[in-house]
Amino acid sequence: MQKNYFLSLLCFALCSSTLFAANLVPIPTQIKVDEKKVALGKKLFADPILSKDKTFSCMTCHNLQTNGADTVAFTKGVTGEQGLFNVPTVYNAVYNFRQFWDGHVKNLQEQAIEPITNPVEMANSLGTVLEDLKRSKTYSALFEALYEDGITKDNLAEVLAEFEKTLITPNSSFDKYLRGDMKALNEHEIEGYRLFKTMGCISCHNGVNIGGNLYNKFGIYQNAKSEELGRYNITHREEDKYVFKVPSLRNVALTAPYMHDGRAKTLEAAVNIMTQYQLGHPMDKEDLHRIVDFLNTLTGELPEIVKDMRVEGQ
Amino acid sequence: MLRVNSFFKKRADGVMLLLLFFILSLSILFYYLQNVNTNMINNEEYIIGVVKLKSYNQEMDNTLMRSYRHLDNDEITEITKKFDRELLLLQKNKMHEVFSTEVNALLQQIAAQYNLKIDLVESFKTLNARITSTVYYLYELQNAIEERKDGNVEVEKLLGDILFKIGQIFIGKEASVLNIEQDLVSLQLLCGEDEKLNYFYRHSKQILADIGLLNKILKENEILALGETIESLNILLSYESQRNRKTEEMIGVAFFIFALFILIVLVYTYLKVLKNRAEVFYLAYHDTLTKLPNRVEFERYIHTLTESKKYKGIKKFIVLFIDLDRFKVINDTLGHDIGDEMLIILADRISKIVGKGNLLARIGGDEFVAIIEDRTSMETIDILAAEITSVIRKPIHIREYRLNTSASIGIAKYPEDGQSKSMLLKHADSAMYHAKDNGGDTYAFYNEQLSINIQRRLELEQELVDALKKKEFSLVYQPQYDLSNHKITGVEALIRWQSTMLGSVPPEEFISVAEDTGLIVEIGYFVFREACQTYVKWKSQGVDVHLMAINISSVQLRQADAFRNFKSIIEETGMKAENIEIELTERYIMEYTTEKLTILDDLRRLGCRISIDDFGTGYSSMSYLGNFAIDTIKIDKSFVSEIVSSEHDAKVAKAIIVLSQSLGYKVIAEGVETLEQENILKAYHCDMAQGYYFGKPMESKIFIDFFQKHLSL
Repeated sequence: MQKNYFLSLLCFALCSSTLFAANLVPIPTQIKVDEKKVALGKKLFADPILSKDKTFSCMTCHNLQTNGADTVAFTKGVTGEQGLFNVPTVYNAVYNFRQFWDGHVKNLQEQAIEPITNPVEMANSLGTVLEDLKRSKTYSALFEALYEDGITKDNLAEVLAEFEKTLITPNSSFDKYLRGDMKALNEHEIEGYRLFKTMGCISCHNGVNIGGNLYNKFGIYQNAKSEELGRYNITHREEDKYVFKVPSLRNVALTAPYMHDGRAKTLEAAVNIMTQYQLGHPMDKEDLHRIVDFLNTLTGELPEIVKDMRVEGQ
Repeated sequence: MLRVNSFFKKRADGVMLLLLFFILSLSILFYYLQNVNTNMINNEEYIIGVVKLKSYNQEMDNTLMRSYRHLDNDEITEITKKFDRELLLLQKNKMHEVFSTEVNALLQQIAAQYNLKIDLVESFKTLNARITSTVYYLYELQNAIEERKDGNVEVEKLLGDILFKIGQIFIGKEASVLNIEQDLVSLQLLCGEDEKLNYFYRHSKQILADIGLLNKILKENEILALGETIESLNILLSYESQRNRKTEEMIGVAFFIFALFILIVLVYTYLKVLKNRAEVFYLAYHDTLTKLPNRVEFERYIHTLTESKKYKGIKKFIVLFIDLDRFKVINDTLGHDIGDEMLIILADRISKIVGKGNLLARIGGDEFVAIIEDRTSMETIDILAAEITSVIRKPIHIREYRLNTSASIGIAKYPEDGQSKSMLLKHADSAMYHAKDNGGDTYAFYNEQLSINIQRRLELEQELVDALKKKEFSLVYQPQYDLSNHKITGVEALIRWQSTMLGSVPPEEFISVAEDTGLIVEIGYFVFREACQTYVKWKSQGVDVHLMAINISSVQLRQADAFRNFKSIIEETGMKAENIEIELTERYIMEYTTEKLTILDDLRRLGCRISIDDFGTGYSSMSYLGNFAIDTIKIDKSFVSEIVSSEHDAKVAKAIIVLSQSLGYKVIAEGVETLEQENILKAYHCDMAQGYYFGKPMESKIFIDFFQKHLSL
């Protein structure tokens, strides 16, 4: 009995060290970018020229004025068809280890073009986009100033990605707290932070983006009944069924509805789902609210650059 | 000089070509080495890239070893991003063109394996996250259950066992050995409605499932063995780059040797060209036969001494023109081989005398010139010239021949005998011709008189050409008389030349010039004709001088048609041959007899008389005196003038008279100017005399008066 106890304590110590070793890091306040490319990318981001009928721009689905995403579970594209996934936020996307819910692209550049050609999104063709851009004197000039080869798919992706890199939201209360400002969080929020760790949320939502750096199965302890198969479509491994990218919790207060299919309309609902499906254990209402309080502190400041950007059309 | 230049140019083209070739191959070598260098750098970069892959892969493997421990997901993402980047760089690297297909295949394999590995790593992260979070919860649950203190020892023990065994798995023990499954089955039975126990059970089951999956992942990673593939690539690269280096080294060395070879050939050719050039230059400035410096070199050298600013007027030296006498004769008779050998021997002899410090050059077929710088005093030059003439005079033995020749040397001093090169050489030349005139086999110094002589000579030559046409010649006549009774026995016709340009020119001056130029022939016929005409005219006027003595040049007598011409003149003028006395020089007689001419015999047969002029001054051979029929001997005036003062000359004169008379010849003394001379000659029984004492040479008209006056005496 003694021996048992002692050894189990040892194991416990071992494991807790792992748990508490996982940490959250504040996002940097600045990020290095090529200004000229950013300017061009910004212009394009808000320009419906990219879409088939010239009504949709990136801003349309990723509203930078609000949350860098949408406010509905599934957004309709140019053709009126609904998208398959809840629009993830562009903000801090640069810190995600993969893009898209199933992580099938590695970086912002690879992601930028897909919405343009996705039939349920901008429903355009790459050829048309490039042609339209080339026809525009402004864009021709701007591109030629930056690139020897002018307007190409890679260059277009690059300028969009460069712009998106600037879309970071530092200085959330929590980041300030992490940086040493003990007053940045109140009691509840601090308690929420503690629970976030002890409950085990932190085991998946960690790192600089508080998430966005690994995959996990959606519905471990309960069948989440997801329509999408996630990573299975890529790896075709049984264990990858319903495996998605763990999303970032930054600005989570702004990006309702939650989950890849937008099934959770509120933070409480989302946390609930998490504890049941992912953590597989109960949570007090009090604890839940504390955690939600904590989650609310993850909202950062919108960058200057988006102040003058408007959604066009529609 | 032009020949030398074009020869060099031809050779130089070859040198140029080789040089170009050398530069070209060297350039190629440099370019190649640059290429190799770039390759080496790229190679290094490539290998470094592969090594980086190796290290990133190692880090990923390290991550995979850290199961159940802290994982910094962001860090892992970083590593995979690095690997991605490095892999992309390698795939884009130009080295692919250099490496074999094996390398490329391996790289592709690495890319494929890496894609698989990423998935494994991601799965690992996921499972690890779940496991760590679950184990913590399990402990929480256990604590919570124990705190309940509901005394369910069995359950608590079971929980403890399960956790303990899970802990064991974490440490590394095999899960199957521990029989956790059994425990879980037991637990399930004991769960009942207990929420917490149920949770415990479900989480335990989950964690075991996850651990199983985790182990599967680890095994898959082991099988994947990306590290091995990377290592193979690394080894292959090292091997290939080494091999490439070796090849490149060989090629580089080959190029280098090639370039070196070309360089050697180049240097060799250039040296040869230089040597050829030296040879050519030597040939340009030296006589091929005697190896002495040639005319070109001589000209150049003397030009330097006389015209260049450096030496002009500073250095004193002597010029010796050495001309071989009658060399042409030997060349023509014995052949050029002998002639050439002679020249070589003579050149050698002369150069030994001249010495190394002085220039000896061959400037013509048989002409040499020496520039003596190491001695300038008259005595030493005198000795030198004498030595040279003597050494040339020595017999030359070639094959079976024993040959003799001699030289005429003309000497001129710089700067006394000419301040300019041309003046100096002209004077040396004059001196040489003067030596030749003196019979050759001697040397002569230049003196001003020579120039004057030559100058005068040229003038005479020039004026003589037209003198006859311009009727500048005239004849004067000097009477010859019997010593015993002072009766006129004959008249000697003497030519006089009144040149419009030069004035009165004495025959001593112009006769030899006329003989040299051949004008004497025309002049001679003029004289002959004029003399004959005058005699006939005189006769018609009652002046009968019995004999007209006319001087005829040996040159004239050598003419093939001389006899015919003389005969026709005699006939044309109506002259009688018996009244003509032909005066010849002593020398001619000698030549006449040796050369077997017939003209004199012909003239004699015609009736002319022959007299020998200036007897005693030339080559007096007794034999010809006997062999040849002559009528009169004229004693040279030189004996007559000294006949009173010199006993010797008197004796000679006497001897001549006696000898001549004994042979049946008449003797006439020339240049009798005093009574005493007459008396002595009379005493010696000289037959006739001619001289100022009796009568000067007179023009025709004046002679007529003289003759008539004399008759009255």
